[in-house]
Amino acid sequence: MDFGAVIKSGTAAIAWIAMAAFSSVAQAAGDTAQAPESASVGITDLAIFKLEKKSFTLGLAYAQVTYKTTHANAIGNTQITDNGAPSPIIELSSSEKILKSWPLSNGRAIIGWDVTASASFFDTHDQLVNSAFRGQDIGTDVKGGYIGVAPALFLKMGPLYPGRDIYWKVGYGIGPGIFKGSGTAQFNTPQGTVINNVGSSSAVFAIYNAASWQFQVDHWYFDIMGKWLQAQDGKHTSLESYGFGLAYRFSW
Amino acid sequence: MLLRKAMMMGKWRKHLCTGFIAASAICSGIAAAAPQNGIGTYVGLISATEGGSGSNGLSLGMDAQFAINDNWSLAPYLMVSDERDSASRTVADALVGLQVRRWFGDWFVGAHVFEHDRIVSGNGNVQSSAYGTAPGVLAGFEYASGWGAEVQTDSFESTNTSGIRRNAVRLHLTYRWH
Repeated sequence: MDFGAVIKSGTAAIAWIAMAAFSSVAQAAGDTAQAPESASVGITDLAIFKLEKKSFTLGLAYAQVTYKTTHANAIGNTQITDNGAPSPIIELSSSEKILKSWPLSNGRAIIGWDVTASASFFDTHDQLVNSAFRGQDIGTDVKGGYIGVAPALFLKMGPLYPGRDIYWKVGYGIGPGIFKGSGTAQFNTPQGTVINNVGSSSAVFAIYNAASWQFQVDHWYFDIMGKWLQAQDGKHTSLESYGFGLAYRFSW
Repeated sequence: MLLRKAMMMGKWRKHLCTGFIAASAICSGIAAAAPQNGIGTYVGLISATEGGSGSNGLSLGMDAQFAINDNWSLAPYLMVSDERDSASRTVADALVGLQVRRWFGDWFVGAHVFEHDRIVSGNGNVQSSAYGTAPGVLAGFEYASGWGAEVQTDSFESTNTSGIRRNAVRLHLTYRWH
């Protein structure tokens, strides 16, 4: 699954449409740039737009995690999932920085960036055999965890209602990660199906990708998220996690 | 790309969309309020075609609309459908997207892009999952009371399985909390 490419193209498309819509705003702003009242509106809008400070986020997600890897003599790769399970949301984020900002009728829309480090654990024990999505428990199991750090580009709009800290934010980031996973998985080979040990007990470097769609209400976040790690182990090992969750952000 | 996909839509779907867009154009002269911020909900019907077979069902969604000015708004949304196809299989399509709306009084036309995952299940098993990014168009109206309606089309080709191409039309009753 090339989700990275999918997300990149999606983010580009969203950014393109947003830019097209905002171009009319920029034109209108240019037409009235000399008007004193437009300047005061802009200052007010900036004052009510809330940028997040450095923060630590804790929450609970429901996500489906799928581990994929290859093996010598195997036909194709093996995929083993958890069929969806609760998992923690543990994130450390930098403050948000503005790259570009536009006025809205209420508040602002900004394209900005931040850096988020994320950590989680996984326990995949359902082998994808006949289904594209739902695995079967055949006795195989891969457990592990990861840490990823990703500078992310985001689009954020709000507040939705005057006087309320309600924002929508979508973003995508890519950066380095550390991945560790080991266990057993089933492979298809010319001689039939075999179960082999996979992964290693030591951590390996990985490329970490993270995409999120957030609805923020005060310090609470409803988050739809996708995370992908491509381990640089020479075996095309990867981990994919898709889910949604609720989290609380502690900022300072 | 959009035009090519639009041409693949069924005849009645094209008529439905044309009617909606024409109606919105006619009503564009009607003076009315600007788009308003708020949380919106969608309840309606969906009709889709994929690989020569059709499926019909319910479509639900919610969005958060952010007015840019009196003429434009952005509405990030979540949407899900529960459909049955001609082989009595269950088709579910989940969308995470962003609408851009151009307003003419209470009426709007627009475009959207979305990330989706379409799942077909039958006999107690998930048979296929197709996902990717795709565009679509929409039209509708919203009154100051919060009530409205919209028609939304989407069309995608799966990025994980070649040959899967799906076109869908959704007709929604909407309500927005201003």
